Amino acid sequence: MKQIILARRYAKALFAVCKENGKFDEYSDALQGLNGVFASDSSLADSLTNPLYPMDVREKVMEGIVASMGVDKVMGNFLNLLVEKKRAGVLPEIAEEFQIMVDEENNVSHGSVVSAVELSDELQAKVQATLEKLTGKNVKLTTSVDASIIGGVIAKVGDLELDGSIRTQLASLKDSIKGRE
Amino acid sequence: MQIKAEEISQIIKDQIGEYETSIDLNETGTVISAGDGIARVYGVKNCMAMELLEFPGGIMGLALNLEEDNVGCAILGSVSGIKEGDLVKRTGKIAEVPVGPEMEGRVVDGIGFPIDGQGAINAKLSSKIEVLAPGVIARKGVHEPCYTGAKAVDAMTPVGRGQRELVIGDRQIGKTALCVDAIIAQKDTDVHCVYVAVGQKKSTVALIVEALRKHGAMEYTTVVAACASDPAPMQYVAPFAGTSMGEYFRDNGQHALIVYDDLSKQAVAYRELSLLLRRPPGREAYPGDIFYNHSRLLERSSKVSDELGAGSLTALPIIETQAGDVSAFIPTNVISITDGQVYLEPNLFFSGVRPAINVGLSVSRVGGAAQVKAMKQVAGTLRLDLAQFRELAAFAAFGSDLDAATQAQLTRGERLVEILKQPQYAPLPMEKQVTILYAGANGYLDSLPVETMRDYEDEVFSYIESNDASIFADLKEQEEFTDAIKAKLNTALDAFGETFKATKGLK
Repeated sequence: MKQIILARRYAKALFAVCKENGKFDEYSDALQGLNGVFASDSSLADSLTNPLYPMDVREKVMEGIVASMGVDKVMGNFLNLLVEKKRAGVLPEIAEEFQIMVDEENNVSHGSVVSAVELSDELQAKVQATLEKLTGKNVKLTTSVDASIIGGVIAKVGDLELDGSIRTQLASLKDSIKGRE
Repeated sequence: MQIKAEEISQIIKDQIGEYETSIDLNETGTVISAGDGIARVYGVKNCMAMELLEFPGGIMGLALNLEEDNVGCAILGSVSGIKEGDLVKRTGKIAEVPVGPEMEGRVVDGIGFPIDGQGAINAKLSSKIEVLAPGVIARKGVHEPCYTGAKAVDAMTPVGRGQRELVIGDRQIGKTALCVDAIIAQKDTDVHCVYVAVGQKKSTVALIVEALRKHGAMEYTTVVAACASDPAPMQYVAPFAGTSMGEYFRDNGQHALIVYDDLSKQAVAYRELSLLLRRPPGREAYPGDIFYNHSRLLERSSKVSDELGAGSLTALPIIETQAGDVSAFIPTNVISITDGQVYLEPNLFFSGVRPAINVGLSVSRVGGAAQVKAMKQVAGTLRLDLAQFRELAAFAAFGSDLDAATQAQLTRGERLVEILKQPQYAPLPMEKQVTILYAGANGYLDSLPVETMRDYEDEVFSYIESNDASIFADLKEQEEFTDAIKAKLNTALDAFGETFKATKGLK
């Protein structure tokens, strides 16, 4: 199970520091970048969390990463602290929670749009405008194409899902016919 | 049967024509973990307690634990199709069941879906599963009887409309039989019935439904069945769902009787659910709110005031004890919640006293307020007579020389015990009950052998019906033994006593 509560504690601490120095984007990018490396290369995560390696070796690995990333002192300390506290494995969740807090601060929310065919820029802008109106926040959209929904779009912002796909409509049509039998 | 493809096409065409496209707007979450009838869901931020959540495949879940980072959810259906990462939709609806007169004669599951294969229930109304019980002002004292048809219960532990009378005892000693008879006894009255089966075998439920149908009781009865093979959440909500169906009648100025068979199984189901949701266990591993679970359920059975239509919901909860241990956790809880209990005892059952009611331990806290005058007149001394008889019987077992007064008391007691016996599926109406009790209390049986009591009872009813049917009619109407009725009844009983002795070849 995800360690959400734990991740939130760390993210909150980092966020409090951010509020003082205003480096939201910088830290967010650093965490997301590291998260990306974590996801693509499992040996990195292993070298930071595996209890078979001695503690000082693991700390050295993180110090090396911090040095190569060229992040500032606070971020470096944060990452080193994670290894020291044996919480390096929670890093993906921390990145996620931190991103949520930064988004909250900037009044931004992330959304995704799934469509059957590639959306034109004009349509995409229209979807974005609709979602912004609905949530009252600036929406950053990511788009993807899934032919199995047949037509229409499925838009998702946070917990909210707008399903206007042909697949769903056909399914509910089927239910309504079946239900009356 | 000829199926015309043309017609079917037309029906489908019409339905497609009527179908309005709408965009689904959902609040969603994702499943973090699922199993053992429980799912934990991340997201669904605005989820309400007891809200229904929809899982893929149309399976519903009941939001029970609202925690900081997840929602603990009891799944009302099969958990096997649900996996990590599945999308969960909010329905925005608090769990509810269909209610109303359309439910009568049907067998439904714990959330009101029909399981009797008689098609959809077109109930116009639905009611929330969890409803707060009526307050103090909305209530009224219990004052009219709700006959169970069992002489021993109606005479000594009377149940009033709006009362909660616990039926408690070991397994296999006729708890269900007593309650099913009580449902059958409501035939030709204005009482609607709900039978809630929790954690029972499907075969048992089928037999009960069959028995009710055979005795014409299914017409006014709803059976809510959450069987042993149903998931624990279903067994937990079934009594609440059944109560909601009964409350419909109460709130419309009508009367209803609900049987919970049985609440110990519901407690076990709730324990399972609570432990899986990681709520801390207490005594016997039951959760801390097990008392509240039963008290809020049983508080909903009530007699409501005249302003609200004077309807009532009478409850007969059943509790199964282990080897007669009434001091276990759940039995003591439910005993303290209810307005009295009928205690069934294995020793009595196996010695042939059926229903096996232990008169000494059974009480009704509503008492005489729920009895008509005629019943009070005959039953007033019954409990005392029986108590004295038991004491003497224990004493007399050692000695042989007894004085006449003791002999008389023993004779009377033996016959009273005998006439309180009753076969299954044969509930008696009030006028017949008081007639036979009158005969017993006034010594009409003392000169007859104990073995003939069964025959006497059967024959005296048919004798009175054919010779002076006005006795039953008057008793039913006036509900008391007036001097006129007493005179008529005395004559009839004297005359019948003679013919009965003659037919049995007695002196």
